[in-house]
Amino acid sequence: MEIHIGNRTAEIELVEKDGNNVRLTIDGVEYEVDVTMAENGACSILHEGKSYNAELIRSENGKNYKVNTLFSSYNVDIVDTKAKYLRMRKKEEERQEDKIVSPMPGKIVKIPVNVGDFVSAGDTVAVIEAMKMQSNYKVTSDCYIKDILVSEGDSVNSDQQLILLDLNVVNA
Amino acid sequence: MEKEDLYSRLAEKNKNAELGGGVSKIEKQHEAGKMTARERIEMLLDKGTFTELDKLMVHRCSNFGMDKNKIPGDGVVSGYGKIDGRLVFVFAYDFTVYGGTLSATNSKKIVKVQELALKNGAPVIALNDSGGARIQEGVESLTGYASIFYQNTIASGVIPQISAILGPCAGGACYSPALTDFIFMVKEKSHMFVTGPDVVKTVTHEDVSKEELGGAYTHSSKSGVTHFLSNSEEEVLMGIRELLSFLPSNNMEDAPASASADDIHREEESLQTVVPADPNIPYDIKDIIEPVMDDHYFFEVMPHFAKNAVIGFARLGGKSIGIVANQPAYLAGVLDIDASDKIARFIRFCDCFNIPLVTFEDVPGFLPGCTQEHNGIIRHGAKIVYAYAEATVPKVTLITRKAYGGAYIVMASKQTGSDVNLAYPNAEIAVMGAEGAVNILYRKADEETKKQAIEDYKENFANPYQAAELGYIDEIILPKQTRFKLIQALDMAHNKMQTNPPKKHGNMPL
Repeated sequence: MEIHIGNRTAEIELVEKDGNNVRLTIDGVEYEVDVTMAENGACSILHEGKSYNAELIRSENGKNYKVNTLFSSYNVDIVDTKAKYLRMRKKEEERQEDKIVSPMPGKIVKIPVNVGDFVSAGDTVAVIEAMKMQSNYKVTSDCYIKDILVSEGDSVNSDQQLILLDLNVVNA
Repeated sequence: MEKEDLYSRLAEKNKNAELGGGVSKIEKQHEAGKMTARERIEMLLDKGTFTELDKLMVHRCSNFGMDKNKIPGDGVVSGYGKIDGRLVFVFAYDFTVYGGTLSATNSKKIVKVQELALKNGAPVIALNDSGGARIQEGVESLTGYASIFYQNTIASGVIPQISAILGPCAGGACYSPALTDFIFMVKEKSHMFVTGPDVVKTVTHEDVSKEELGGAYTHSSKSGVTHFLSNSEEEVLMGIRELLSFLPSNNMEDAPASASADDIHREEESLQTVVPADPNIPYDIKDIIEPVMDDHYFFEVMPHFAKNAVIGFARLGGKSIGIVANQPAYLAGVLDIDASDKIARFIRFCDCFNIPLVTFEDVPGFLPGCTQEHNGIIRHGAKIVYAYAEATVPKVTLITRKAYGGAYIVMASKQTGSDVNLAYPNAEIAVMGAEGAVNILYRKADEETKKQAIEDYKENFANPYQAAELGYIDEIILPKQTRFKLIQALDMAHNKMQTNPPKKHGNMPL
């Protein structure tokens, strides 16, 4: 099992459990400890004759804990499949093609850009009304407006080219 | 022979088999940025649970001097193990052995695993990385594919079948994944095509790259062949584990429940303002779906294809549900051919595996135009009605805003068999928009009368109250109550008993 303790990531594995006696490895190093859970999340650990006390506070989703020891306090996260999957899952990335095409028949409401403009990712370059809805068409990467083939108020068909972009010209 | 020698002989044989195509081939696989078949299985399954089958099976081909080189296990690693403590069967093509090509032996190993999975009611996971048919074996190899496809088809709807494409998958080999329920692909590493770029060039003179023709991006956004696009093999394997957490092991089981600390009564104030007052302004349907689900967690399926429809899994009150939604933020949320296919297949998957369906509806209608009509939006759109009507799992529909015309009917309306239909107070349920309706009803009237008529129509029909008066909407709810209302409805329908008349199978419009 992988866990995060503050900024540290550790791999923990349970080797053997016999009553309160627990053998486990932390990042490959083996420890033999005696663990007792008292009430209210208080936990007492005996390791090589030394006693440690900690208080565990479980968060709502059950996957992270706040651990208070005598001198300091740590946030501990348990990293399971879901956490690993979500961590790897990057925000949806879209490939920007070099033109904006109307996906369905509609009417151009607004073209908020001009030929020669530099626009950045997320900027709206056309507003089209179709199917009772005004949809904003945005670019997903920085680019340069090469040509605008329609004007406000025009009716457009599906797959009609509206705006030509240049993805390689960079704003100096 | 001494006992000890016998045992060491076995150890030697096992060790040999575990090397697959040998150290140099394994290094080559790593250099290509790919894991070996055994490494993949190791990462996919719970630690130490993998039991390998047919580790020592060899190919039986003698053409082209093949009999001089037999590798134990041949080109497939197969067996069973556990994911989150639940039994699964797995087979992985081993690219280090003759490029993972399919021999008669490999297909026998695969079919054995498929048959065991079917008998024992557990999911099958296929990890594909193969050069295709083993040409040296001729028609033997093709027959192998045929028997795999046959098993895929027979097991469909009985056990979940999941395919990961982690390398090439070309020609006939594509059809095994295509017959399974879900396909995962890795960017730049995996490719699927029926004919490769070279053949395409000779036949159609199109010059197209492997990635453009059948890469992960193409199949997840354009063709809709693949359901999940991943950045790495590890993400694929974790994705499979995560997906399985929502699914039962077979069609006789209920989906697994997982305890959640999320309060079922939780009211979400943000939902009150998600849907804009002006019906012409789009919003993101996921802003409604996510806050409503347990731990705000929505596992989306096919996020890049036909984005005007949203499908995926989530949990409500700890129980798995399948979600189908229209997406007003993309193409106004219209239903077109691709969206219809996406929605219909997902509904049928959920129905196969006893996963209740929750539909979030905001649909202005079917997409008009020649392209859609000529490509058969009629027969494609019909799939949605068919799938909803046929599904016997609990079905709950929530109309968040628009529900117009034919699209209202097909999106799990009351009369097509939905169990509970809810609507927000701002819902608009009508045959068509006010302007369109008035232009027909008052064709010859003057502008002033029309204007008045439009206002009247909006007042009388662009709301959920006519439907509620007739009992087609069971309850009109406040957006903030969505979570609890959906949980109540699903709870009520939990023991639903409904069966369709016995038949071989229906004749779904395909």
